[in-house]
Amino acid sequence: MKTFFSAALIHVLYLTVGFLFLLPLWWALASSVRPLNDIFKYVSPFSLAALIPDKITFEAYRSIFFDRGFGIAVFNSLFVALATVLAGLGVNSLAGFAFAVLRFPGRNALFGITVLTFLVPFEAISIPLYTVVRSLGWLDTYLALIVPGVANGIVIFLFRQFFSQVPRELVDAARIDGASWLTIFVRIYLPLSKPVIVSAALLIFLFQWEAFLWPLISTRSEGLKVIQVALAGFEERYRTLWNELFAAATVAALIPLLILLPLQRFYVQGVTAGGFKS
Amino acid sequence: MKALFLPPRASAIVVILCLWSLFLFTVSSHAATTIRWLTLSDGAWPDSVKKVIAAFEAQNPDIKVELDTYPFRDLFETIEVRMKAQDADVDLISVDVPLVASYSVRGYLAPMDEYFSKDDIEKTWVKPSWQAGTYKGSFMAAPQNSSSQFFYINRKLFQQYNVTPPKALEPGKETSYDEIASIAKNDRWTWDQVVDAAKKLTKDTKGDGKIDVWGFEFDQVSRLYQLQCLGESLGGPLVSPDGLKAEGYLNSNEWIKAAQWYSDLFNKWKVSPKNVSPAESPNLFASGKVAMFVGGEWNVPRFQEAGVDFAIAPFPYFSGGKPVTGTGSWHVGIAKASSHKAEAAKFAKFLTEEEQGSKIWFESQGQLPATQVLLTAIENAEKYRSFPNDAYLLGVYEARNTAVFRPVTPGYLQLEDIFFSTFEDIRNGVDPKVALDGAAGRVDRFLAQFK
Amino acid sequence: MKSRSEALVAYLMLVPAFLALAIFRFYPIAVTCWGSLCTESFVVAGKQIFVGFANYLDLFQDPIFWKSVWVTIKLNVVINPLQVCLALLLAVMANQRFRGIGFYRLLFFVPIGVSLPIACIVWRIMLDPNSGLIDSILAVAKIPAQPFLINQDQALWCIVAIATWKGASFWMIFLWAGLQDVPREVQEAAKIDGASQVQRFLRITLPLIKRPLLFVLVTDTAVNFLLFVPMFLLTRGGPSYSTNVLMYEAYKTGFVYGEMGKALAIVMVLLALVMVAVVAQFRLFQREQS
Repeated sequence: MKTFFSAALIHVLYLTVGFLFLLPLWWALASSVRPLNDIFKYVSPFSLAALIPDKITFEAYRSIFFDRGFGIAVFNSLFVALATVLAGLGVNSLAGFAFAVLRFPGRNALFGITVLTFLVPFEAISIPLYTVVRSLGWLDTYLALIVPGVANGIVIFLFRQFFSQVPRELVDAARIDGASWLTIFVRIYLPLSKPVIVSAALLIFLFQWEAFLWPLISTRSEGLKVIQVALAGFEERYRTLWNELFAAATVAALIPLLILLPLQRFYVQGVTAGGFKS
Repeated sequence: MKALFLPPRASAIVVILCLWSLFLFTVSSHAATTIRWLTLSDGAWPDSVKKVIAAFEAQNPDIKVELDTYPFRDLFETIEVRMKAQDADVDLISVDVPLVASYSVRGYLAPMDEYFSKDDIEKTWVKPSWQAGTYKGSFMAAPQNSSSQFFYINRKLFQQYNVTPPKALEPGKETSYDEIASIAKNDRWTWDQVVDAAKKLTKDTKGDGKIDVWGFEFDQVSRLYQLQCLGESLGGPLVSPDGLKAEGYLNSNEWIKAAQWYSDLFNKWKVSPKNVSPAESPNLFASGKVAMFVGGEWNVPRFQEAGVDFAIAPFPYFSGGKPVTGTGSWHVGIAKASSHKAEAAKFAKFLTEEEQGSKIWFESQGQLPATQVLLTAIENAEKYRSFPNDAYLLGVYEARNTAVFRPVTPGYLQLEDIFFSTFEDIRNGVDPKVALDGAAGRVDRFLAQFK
Repeated sequence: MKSRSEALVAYLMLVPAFLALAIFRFYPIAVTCWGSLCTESFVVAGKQIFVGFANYLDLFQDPIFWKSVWVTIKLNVVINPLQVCLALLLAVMANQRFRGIGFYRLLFFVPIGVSLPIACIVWRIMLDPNSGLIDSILAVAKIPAQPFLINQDQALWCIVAIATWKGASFWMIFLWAGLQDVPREVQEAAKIDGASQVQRFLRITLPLIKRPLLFVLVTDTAVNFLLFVPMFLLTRGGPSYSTNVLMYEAYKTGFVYGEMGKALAIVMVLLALVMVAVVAQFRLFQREQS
């Protein structure tokens, strides 16, 4: 009886937390399939009808994809995010490895300035960054969206923290065997780092996925619009197209979740993992 | 060692490519000049603009106009970034009328005096409109359209609760400019009348302690554009005539009185809801939850679409004071760093001054025009005699008689921002005198740099 | 000989990242520092005039600036430990094994997909004092309707709640990754030794996830010091400047008022504050290490 009670309690706890996390997205999803004028009808005074729509219409979805070219924005954000992830994983993991494993003069100082790079807000550097990218001739191209996001101090920091957890003995043994540093990196560290690689990929992906100010000022063509800029377009001066905004927001939220879903398995300890600590 | 010469087929391709590039090069040197216009992406704006551009390009085949469009809020940010970076890629920018002074002072705009003569300017537009586009004697931005403010009545709610509505423009009635002018002059409600009616029209219909129907609501709550008319109606301007001082103006007795009235709406009489943002406010009226709404003329099509049974009355005023309505909208200016100023000016002229361009713009976009010619045309045309088009006639009357422009000051952005925070605080219960005194002090700190 | 080649390899590995950082971060940051010492010319757009510390002096005399400093510190002293602890709790919860955990985990991930602006919009509607969901629920428990975002005592904490909704979920992922490196055998051994769940956690698990924990703490701190989107969308720094954090004040000054020099000066002050916090955190963890 006791175990049933405590099991039930656990489920209640998890459900409550899960519900709190789900509620806003649920409301956005429900709003996206209702007619525009219905969205706020049931909020005041609040009734369950606010969460469960009675009239369902996919007009908002049709409109965002066919009238507003939201599909292009989705493609652009996906393309930019994935390209940045691929380049970023390589560049940042190497740097993280160097900081974590190798010994060299200036290590702490260089690491210090790496951390510094993410302490400065993007808005502050947006105008000089704009002039840099303009002088490279990259304005209004995919390069402008991708390249500045590749090297990322946070991701380097992440890799450094995780790589420094790998026991030194493995490295020493490999060095005695005559392995080069690159071999050690690829053959030893990377296979042990699946969770952190997924985390780093997620970090880079979301960084690009949620980017707003930079794409706004560095590109102007309709064909290069990204998701967050497209979302902002639903708020016009005199009115907001709430149903379309929520439809787009739901699509924008579901994509990263769908990508994360299958990657969960890299986090769950396998039989072999965790053994290296002993 | 590899062969130095390419095989015949490859060399043929190379030769063709070279010839093609040469051809393109010669052709492009005779190509059209392209000018870029940084402007809005909201709603039907781009479509309407493209119609004007099509007509312009038909008349001027050697000039092409391209658009860089942004949603309202982001447009301002983008203008700041691009103008600061002296982006030579931008030739024209859409200027929200109160920012003419600010942009001029900071060197974003090029003066247009060599393209528009003083005579032309005064003949084309109504005085408040062209004055607002001028800074320190130079014509900096040409008026593209104007705006007006109306008093919207939910007829159904008035009938339901047996309250007498003001004399208004109603569906199913034909009217004329003179009739409307008479209503505006003689039957305009005072704010006291509004509050009286609002008290009778604020109801808790479900009996659960929450108000379901509100008596009154502002469109752009707490915004300077909307509330300027309150203090001005009592005779109090917001800043000094040179636009450099707020102390004694923003916190004058007239403004304290106006702010107290505003506060009472939410805190004492409770006829207007708190925590409704400017974006959501029209939604409430459109869903039939508000009896009286004051707001821009652009709400007419939207309320029609929502199916509200509404009438349009002239904008209220303080008894003992004078009727005042907000006005002004978008202007267009030439970017200082542009390298095609003459072409840009040509297009600006076509859009704002010339009959053909301004007419296309008005007919497509439907916002109240700023040119005298169009205003007179509206006054006399048949189609504006029936509801809801007769609202335009009311707009014409207000533009000619009661319209007051937002203060011309280089510190407009700071003024507007502080005004908004201050009036939101007042709305949430902060004492008006305290709030306004603090605001005036803060605004003056900013204005000091312009002296 | 060996150490020199090790250093060389290290530098080579750092080159791609540092080249990109130099162009796209170091240089703009340097320009930003310089910009804080300048103000804008009124004659030529974008031209800078060197004014030394005038912008800073101006700021230090502005009572609103000091209020922003206070609000920023108040916010961060609360939100950083809160988010990290909650993230840790969630990570532990996510790391359990029982039927249905996969489904729950998915729910835990949801806030990650929802962008902050959308989260703010939806939460604002739910926190509406006139008729929002939260007040309706409180009414059931006979608690009077709260003003939430329009009240100067409550607004900041509402923003904390909204940011934590997203933050706890996001940082959980990294701590959950960290927990994967804690071998189960060690935990099992401690269980056999009779240690309670809490003891096991504090004495064994926690020390083993120190490094990921430091990462989460430092990065979350940086993110929260720079947070301003909720203030921008929900309260505009109000009511009565109670949510006017330094970053919002900087954004407003630079992008709304157009006074870039002063805005950058605010950013420099903010940077100093963050550095103090971050350095303190690094020291704290270093000490605990030895």
